[in-house]
Amino acid sequence: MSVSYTWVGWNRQKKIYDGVMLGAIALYLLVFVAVARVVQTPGQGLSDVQLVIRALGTAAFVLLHIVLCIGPLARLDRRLLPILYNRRHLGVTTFFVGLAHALLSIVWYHGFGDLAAPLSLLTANTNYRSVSQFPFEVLGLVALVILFLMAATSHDFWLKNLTPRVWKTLHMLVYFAYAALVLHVVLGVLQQEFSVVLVGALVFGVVLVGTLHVAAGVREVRKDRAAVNATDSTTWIDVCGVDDIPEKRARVVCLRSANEAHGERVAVFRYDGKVSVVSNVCEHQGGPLGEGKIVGGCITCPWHGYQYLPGTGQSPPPFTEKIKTYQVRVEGRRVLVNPEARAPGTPVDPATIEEAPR
Amino acid sequence: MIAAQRRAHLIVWIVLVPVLLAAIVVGVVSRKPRAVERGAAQARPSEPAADAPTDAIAPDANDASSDASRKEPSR
Repeated sequence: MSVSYTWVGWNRQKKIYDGVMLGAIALYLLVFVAVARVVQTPGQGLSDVQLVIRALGTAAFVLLHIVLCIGPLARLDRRLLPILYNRRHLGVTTFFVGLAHALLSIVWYHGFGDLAAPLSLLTANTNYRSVSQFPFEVLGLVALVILFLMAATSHDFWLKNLTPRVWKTLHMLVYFAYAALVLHVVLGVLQQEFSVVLVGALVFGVVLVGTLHVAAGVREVRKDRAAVNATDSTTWIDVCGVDDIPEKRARVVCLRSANEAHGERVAVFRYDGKVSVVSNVCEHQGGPLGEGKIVGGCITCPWHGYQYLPGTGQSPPPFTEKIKTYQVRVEGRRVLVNPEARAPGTPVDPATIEEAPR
Repeated sequence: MIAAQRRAHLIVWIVLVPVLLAAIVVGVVSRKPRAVERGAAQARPSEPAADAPTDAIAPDANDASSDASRKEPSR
């Protein structure tokens, strides 16, 4: 979290993360080429350049799988939330590894003829109606363009200027890029040589990524369906008991006011004998604030550490982020919330928790 | 809005997984090997198209009946 933009907000954790990531990629490339040289059949006769092309391609594909698995894993088990930190660097690295694969492939397969290599890439094969002869390179190019757009707009500067909604929609194109890459592999290398290992790995990857996303999605939609309804705008909704909320933590509840079609998740925080209710959606990347905790008097997002004051929904100065707030009161040991959201950053008095009867 | 995004996200994956698995099956069933040599994919516009007349294709030098085996006519 920073008030001004810098290229990368380096800290010790990020340096370690990036060092381990780059080391692992280099090791993967070396091991892939070394092993492939030994195990390839005599008839294959792949050169070292071709092996490097494949090593880079598989590395980018594996990295994309990891990037795609991190989100649902963190949603399914909050103990895995730390792996979400710095996912952005992993995504940008995926683009650069994919770019290296693409450039080397274009030079190697399209760079020794009459036409310029990029032109040859787009015109050499136009068998779009054939499965076995399909110009699979175009699918890789489409995926690379999407990964480029994501990498280029990954900085918080673009998140702020594009607005979180547009930014999120743009970055959801990664699913389209993933589908294009699966087809790139199926219609590319799989057409050249059949490999049980390759097909098995491909199916495993699709099933793994798909299952994790569906499992996490079903869980989230079920939470939304359990929304507590209000009958009119003045209704106070009984959301939970005070004792259901751990100290300095929150209970997430889905509220649906009388004039809303869909429910809205709110985070009911308990701290220092008080209760405050704010939107569950972080202004930064839509992180689940209710899964975070109160650190130094501020609600802290579990994704990237953005902070908000529980009584106002505003980030502490000099930061300017704001989230919606909700009126709350405590009756006995029950927490009641008005489902009509206040404008982001509107101060709302916290409810005071009465002493439990002894 | 956020809830709507979550539902859209779930629907995308419920549709995507079977489509991708089906694509893998189709790809495996209908595969035919293709060239992987250096420069193999480069387009060569100076070469004849696949459906060009056969007399436009360079003759086989080993074929005794081909034009390549004929001597230049003397003047």
